[in-house]
Amino acid sequence: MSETSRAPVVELRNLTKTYRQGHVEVRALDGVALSVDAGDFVVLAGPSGSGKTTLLNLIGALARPTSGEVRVGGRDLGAMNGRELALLRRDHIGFIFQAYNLLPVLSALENAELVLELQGRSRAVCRERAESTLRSVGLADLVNRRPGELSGGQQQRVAVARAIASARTLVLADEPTANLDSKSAESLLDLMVELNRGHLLTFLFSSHDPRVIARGRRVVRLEDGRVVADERAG
Amino acid sequence: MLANFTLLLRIAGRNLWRNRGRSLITGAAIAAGVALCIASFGIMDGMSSDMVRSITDTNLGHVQIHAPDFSARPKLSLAFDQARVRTELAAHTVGVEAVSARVIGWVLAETPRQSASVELVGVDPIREAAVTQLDRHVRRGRYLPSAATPWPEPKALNADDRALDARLTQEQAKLAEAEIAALDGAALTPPQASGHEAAAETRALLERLAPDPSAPPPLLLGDRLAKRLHAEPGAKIRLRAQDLDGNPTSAAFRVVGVVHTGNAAFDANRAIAHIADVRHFFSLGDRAHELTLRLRVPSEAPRVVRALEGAALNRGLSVKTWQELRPDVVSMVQMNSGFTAMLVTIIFAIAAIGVADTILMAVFERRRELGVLKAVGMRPLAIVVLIESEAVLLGLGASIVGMALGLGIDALLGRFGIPLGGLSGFSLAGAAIPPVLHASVTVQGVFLPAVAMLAMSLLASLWPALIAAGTEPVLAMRER
Repeated sequence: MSETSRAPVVELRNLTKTYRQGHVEVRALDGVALSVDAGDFVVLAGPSGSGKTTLLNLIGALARPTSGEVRVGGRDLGAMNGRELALLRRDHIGFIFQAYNLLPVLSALENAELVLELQGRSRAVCRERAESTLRSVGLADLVNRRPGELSGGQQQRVAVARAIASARTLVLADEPTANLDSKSAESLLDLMVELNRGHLLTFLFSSHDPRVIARGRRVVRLEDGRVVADERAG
Repeated sequence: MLANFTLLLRIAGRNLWRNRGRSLITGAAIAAGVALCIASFGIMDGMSSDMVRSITDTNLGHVQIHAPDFSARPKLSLAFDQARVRTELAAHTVGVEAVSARVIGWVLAETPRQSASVELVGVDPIREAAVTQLDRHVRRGRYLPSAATPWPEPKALNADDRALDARLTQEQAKLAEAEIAALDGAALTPPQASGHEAAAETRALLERLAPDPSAPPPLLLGDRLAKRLHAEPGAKIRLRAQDLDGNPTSAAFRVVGVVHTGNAAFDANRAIAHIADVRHFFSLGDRAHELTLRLRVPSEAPRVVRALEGAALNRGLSVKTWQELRPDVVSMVQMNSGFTAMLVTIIFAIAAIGVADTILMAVFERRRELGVLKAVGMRPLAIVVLIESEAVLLGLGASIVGMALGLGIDALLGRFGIPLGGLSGFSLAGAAIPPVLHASVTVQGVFLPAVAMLAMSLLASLWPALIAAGTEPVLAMRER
């Protein structure tokens, strides 16, 4: 999956996901079709329960669709086994979660190194890339702090560093600013925009915050599991 | 993979440290389990060693050579030329520390107050002490002197003696005929002399022709035999038996010492004298019934037996290890090991439940973190290794502490032991249980519990590890 590839980074065809809650079947996604190009900065917008998180989980190979097709970097996820999906997530997809989800026993630097170490990179490469990424997200002075010693905004920056340190092309972010104050949220969005432009990273993130949605170059609106609008800014 | 593994170890170690209170409690339980197992092995190994030593160091030695049937049916006639066999032993065998020749026969022992059937064993006092350390078991009196007693030469029968012998023989024959006739209901014809008088005259003739030495030969008695015969050091005991040719033989011996070996059969039945005195008593010449070998390394007994077998078979003799001679004691040692293994298994099972519980709780508490690890690409096998690493680190640390504790307990038990109180001084199948149980440290007894506990920790944490590996990232990360 090359950064300069002209093929869509993400392709969704007639994607459906249903859950069973007791005796009730809930249709979280209903015939979603979407294509995301390399270098895009896409916001999935919609109210709670509209299917944003489910869609990100399917694209991130964290869950399998009930029907339809998900392609990431041209590869059909439905044809891949668990091991291949784990390698795909490790090598090509970065995750930023609403609740940061850093490992509390590792320092900021070690959290940023985590995926690099899982990839089997040398100690020196892990250290050099993690330090440089933490520098680029403005945490050069806090590398040895554990998550519990960082603010919410700082933790989310570490999460961003973890997502991009291994030079992956697609970053999925589920409500990344939901737990942040407005200043930290604004700062994080600035950082994501900068990374998108400077490193040609493809960002696909969900939000229902109008201020965040306004920063997206492309806004895909979901309602009741369906894409109801797909707008490009400017 | 190496980078991955160091990462997993780092996370595992820090997770244990994060819940250090819980880790400490579980670690303490594992350490206590390992220490208890090592102490149990130490005591059982010590007891088994003491039991084995109580038979090898008092009587059996490590290897014995006999005529083939002697062990099953000990008879005076099953004696062999020990001098030649001993020469071959010296030429062929490596690892033999000492050899003692013995002669063995059953006699009637009489004191003024009591008589008893006794197993009389003739030994070379110096060689025997080197093989069985018999000298260390003397409780009262002293050990046998190294020199044999000078025996006067027997006298030849003169004409009067022959006439007396013929008369006594005739009277004994008549007496026997009369007793047989009485059994058939015929009237008993009184003999000219009573049986008692004839026996006394016979003994007098015997003592005149084959007189006792000027000083009675020295004799050691087992303490229970001494009690039965009411004979303490200084007492004179007359021994009567038949010699190799079937002739009656009799001599007075002087008790010089009383031994206590802890081996019930030995202490209750055995009298020990100088081999030259016993050979003289039984008219055995230079022959012996038993060669007992002490080895430098007791566990080499089978090798020594293999080395000796050819030469011994050529002479029509059999060579056996102490294990072959006393399979009952071997069984008892194995039974001890079995009991220890059962105890250790119970301790391990309890510790394993503790480990499984700790790791399972840790897995449930960290489901969200495990979900994140899987989401960012950690494979299920790596999650299993991560959880197992926590168990191994916990088990390893605790096992090392447990080994140190166990060795400390063994050192204390080795030095001071556990007194058995009222249970002391008994024997099982002839093997003495010492009054104080001392622990003995073996490599196996120390490392086996630690390694087994480590393996048990690994096994016990496998189930939680599999649960962790099966974590669904989406569900796990939804948990608060």
